[in-house]
Amino acid sequence: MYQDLTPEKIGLKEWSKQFRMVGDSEIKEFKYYNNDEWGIYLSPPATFMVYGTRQLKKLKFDNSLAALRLWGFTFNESERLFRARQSGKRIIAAMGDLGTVPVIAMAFPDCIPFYPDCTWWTPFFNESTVLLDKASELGTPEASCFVRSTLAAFHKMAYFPKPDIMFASTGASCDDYSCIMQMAEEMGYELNWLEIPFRRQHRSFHMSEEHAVTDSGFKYPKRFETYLVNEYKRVWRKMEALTGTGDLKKLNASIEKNNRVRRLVNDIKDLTQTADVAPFPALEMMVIEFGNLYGYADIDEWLDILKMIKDTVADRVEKGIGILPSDAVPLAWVTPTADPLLLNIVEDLGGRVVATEYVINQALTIIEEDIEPFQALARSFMNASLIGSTEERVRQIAGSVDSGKIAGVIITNMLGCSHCAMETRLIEEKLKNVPVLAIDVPAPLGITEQLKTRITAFIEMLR
Amino acid sequence: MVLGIDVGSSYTKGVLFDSGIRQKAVVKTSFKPKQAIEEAQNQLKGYDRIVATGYGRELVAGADKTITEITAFARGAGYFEPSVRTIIDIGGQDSKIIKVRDGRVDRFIMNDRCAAGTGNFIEKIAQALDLSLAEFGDLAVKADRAETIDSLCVVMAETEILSLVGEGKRLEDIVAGVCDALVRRIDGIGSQIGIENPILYCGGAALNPGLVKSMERIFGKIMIPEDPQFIGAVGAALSQ
Repeated sequence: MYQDLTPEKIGLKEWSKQFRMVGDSEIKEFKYYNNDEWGIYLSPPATFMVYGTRQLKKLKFDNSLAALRLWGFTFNESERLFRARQSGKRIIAAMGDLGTVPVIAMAFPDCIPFYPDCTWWTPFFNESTVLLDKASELGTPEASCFVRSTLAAFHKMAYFPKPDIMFASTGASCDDYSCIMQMAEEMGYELNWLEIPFRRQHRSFHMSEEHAVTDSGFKYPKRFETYLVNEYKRVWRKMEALTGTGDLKKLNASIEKNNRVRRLVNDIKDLTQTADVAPFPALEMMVIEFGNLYGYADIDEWLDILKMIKDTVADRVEKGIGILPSDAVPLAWVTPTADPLLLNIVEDLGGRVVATEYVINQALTIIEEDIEPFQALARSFMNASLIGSTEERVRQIAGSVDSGKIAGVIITNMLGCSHCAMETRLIEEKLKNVPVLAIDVPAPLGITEQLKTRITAFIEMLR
Repeated sequence: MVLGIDVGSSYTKGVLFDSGIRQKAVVKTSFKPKQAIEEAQNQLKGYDRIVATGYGRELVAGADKTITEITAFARGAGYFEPSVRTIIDIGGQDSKIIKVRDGRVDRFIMNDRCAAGTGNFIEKIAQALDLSLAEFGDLAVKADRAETIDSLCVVMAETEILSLVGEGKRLEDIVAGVCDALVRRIDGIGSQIGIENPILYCGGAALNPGLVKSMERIFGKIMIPEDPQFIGAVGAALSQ
């Protein structure tokens, strides 16, 4: 039985060496789709470098078996989706809505939801501009963010199998992504558009307008929730037509299962962010947060992995041990990093991420289980920071920053991302009580010494 | 005795420090930072600790500590002018505006993505006008009025300057306009964190009289320390 060593972050070579201590029984124990024949995924990260994930040779990973399982599982997703197709499962593409369509899709038998737009990360993990260049060749706008790599993935059809059905959000969603999806539609993909309402403030002078409230206390017109309910029912009917089934009890079960995931992730976040010593690295934590969206195409295995991670983290917290020095500077991170290496770098330079706002907060929200399921989904999604005003997003961020545990805030600005360009300055201006560093995320392989100097100087300043 | 060494992209500066500057050395970095470091170390002997800063700080073999130039400049500036609130450094590959309070960094901003806001802008234009940097600075202070250079991009500015030359404008007024364009860019970047008086202008570019004049035109009164290019090295030594 593999015994975790003293926590630390290790590189590819060390993991390959350490992997010899992992027993055959453990390798066989962890499998996706619960398949003994081809579902094994536990392997040293070096395996995935061979398949093109070149950045792995630069990244440092947590040395626990739980983290090894996390990496093996997430990097295995492409293979998993192709296996799903081979074994007769239906592949459901959910795009842009970030966290709700998969809950509906999981209520149908043998349906595997995934996010093609997560190809966003691929140019960085692969240290390659192949997808970005292809997207440009296909005519994507020069000023669109890294999400344009999704279009190239649809063109190449090597990163995931052709989905059986595709849902894509529009309206109060990422505009770069919507534009890319329109282009995918022109390429012949049939998209089922799902309109997301903009969460404007409820106006008290509209006396007849009923209001609803987000978890953070923001009042918005209730009819937006009703609108979203109808949109989700449309998704449900499409899924019924695709599968020939449809049982609302299974939707309740899916909500219950997704809530288990969300609770586990929230628990892990709480443990990690409040411990005296950082028990788990920021990079792995980001991978965990993003898993909330769809369970990396196998929610049952994902649940099991999360339980193992929670046990590992809880054990470390109890023992007061971790992967960073106790004097690491506590930071909040706003907007996803795009380049995963940045999270490693910040920790190497003396920072510790103790709060995050990766624009996926709605997927951390617990879905109500005692009300009508579509309404519960809509109400949960109306918490999304991306669908409201910048001011409201800033208010949410300021709320977490005001906890007093954060010495500074790092905001990542994505090259070509239109709302980043507008929001970052506003966030900086509003966060008066805490130092802010805004960094532009360069293209793959673009992290320079100057960028490192800026992060180092920021951390030196906070010390 | 501490050796504070600031490995910049243009020059490597070193000071031997023991309750004050005991000895100084400046060596051209010229894309050979390791050689420049070695040369500076050879010129400055008798130290028992090394603190390195600057873009090549990690290349200093045997350094006991490394700090960024942001922190080093704040410490160094506090040593020369304790009352300073804003430090401006126009470096070869980046420019920095650092707000300080009690010798510590309060806020900072860097321009490191475009030559337009760095000393590189002056170097490129001087080359285009076939002037040495010393000639460029001397000419700029003789200007009657600084010409307006609107382009912030080095390439575009070069074209604009050549057309001013073609129009028969005085070279002195053109180079003063170039200096103003760079300082206006610095002002624009600095406005994001708010430039407050007293301002300390330091780094090697503070030895350029043309840029100093432009600084005064745009910011009013500025302070320049006795050894502006050694601020980083002194700050490093003080951070031991």
